[in-house]
Amino acid sequence: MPITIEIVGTNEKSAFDKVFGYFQYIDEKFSTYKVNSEISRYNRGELKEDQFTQDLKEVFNLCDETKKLTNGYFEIRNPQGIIDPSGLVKGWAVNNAAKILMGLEYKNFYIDAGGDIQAEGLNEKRVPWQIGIRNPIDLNSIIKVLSISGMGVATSGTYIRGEHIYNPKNYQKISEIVSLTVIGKNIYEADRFATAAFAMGKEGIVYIENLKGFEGYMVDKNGLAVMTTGFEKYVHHYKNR
Amino acid sequence: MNKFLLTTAIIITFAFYAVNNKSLEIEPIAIVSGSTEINSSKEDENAPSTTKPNNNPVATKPVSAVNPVVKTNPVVVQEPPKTTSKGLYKDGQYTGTYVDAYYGFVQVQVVIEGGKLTDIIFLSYPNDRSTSREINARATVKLRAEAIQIQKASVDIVSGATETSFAFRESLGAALNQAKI
Repeated sequence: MPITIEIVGTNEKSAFDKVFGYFQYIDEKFSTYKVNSEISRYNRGELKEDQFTQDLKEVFNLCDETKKLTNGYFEIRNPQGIIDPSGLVKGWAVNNAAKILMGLEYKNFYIDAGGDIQAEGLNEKRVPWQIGIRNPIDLNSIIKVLSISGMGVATSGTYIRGEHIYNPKNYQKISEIVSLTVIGKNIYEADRFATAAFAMGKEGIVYIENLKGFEGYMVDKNGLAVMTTGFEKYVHHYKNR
Repeated sequence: MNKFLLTTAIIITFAFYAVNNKSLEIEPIAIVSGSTEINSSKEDENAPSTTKPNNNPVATKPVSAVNPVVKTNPVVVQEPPKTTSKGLYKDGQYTGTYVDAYYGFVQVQVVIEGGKLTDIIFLSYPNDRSTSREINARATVKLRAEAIQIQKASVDIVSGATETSFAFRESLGAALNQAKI
């Protein structure tokens, strides 16, 4: 997964190193693709609860809390029985990384981990960060431009590599919708709710509508989009010609 | 039972009205027809929206950098053909917005075949009628629907789904290590 960071007005290598180093740490702990990651060892039953590291405990707690908040739609156990918290870890990690940069007094930057974005301050042109929503039906285009400052943007979807997201209540594949973008006050929140709402299928956008402080844009398999009532305020309007 | 029939009649009438009058709740959609394939086999994560032929990769290039500073290379999207939405309904399924049909939120999906409305599918059903009446402080909320439209714009970043699992590639990890030396 590509990680992209831009900090306006600086070339300070140490700042980038710190953040990339943090993501590497996260990967080594939470990647289900890594045989010796903590999560893989957990899944093989090699860890007793008193051996969990602080971050693993925190992630598990946050996942529990999110599952309750979303009425069970946020579920980290996949149909094969493997625990995979990546639907929360990604946003959580980006949010933590953003805090690293803020702690270093940077005010204008973005961090993008595989399409989950925290954008702070203004871009080089001194306007809010311009974030495109990828077209789930034609991946080389975008379908919306958002103006974002001090918020997180996450997109859940199934159009990459034929991935499947399941409704955890009945383990049916979600097929009616293909993309759900959530804007929230930070990327940790946006990501976990985008993950949960996607598992609700078409109802997901209603869930986001009812969630105070969050806006959403959902695309169905026919290319029809439905948006929450406050979404429009983030949309950048420009002349198409 | 009668109330349900009445509701159904109202909703069907409404849907029919909307469909035929192109009013807002069920938008005429410039349509992606039913045969559209979702390109899920595309592996290309590195160039989400650029068509500039000789440009550097755009903002979402992978981290392999010796120089990790990422410049803002604008992402320019190729101009798409104009969408047609002159109120002609192409065959397919359209989802109407959520409408408070007096009893609660209802989503209506209409099916057009041969240019005609052939079916209406209720995707979420009205709340229990009696409770709705008692607690009917619910304001009408309509969620706007639209056909997606390709944007011709420069953006800094692209938000899209990637793998649902959080996984760096092995080579990525190695590249990061190299950059540290």
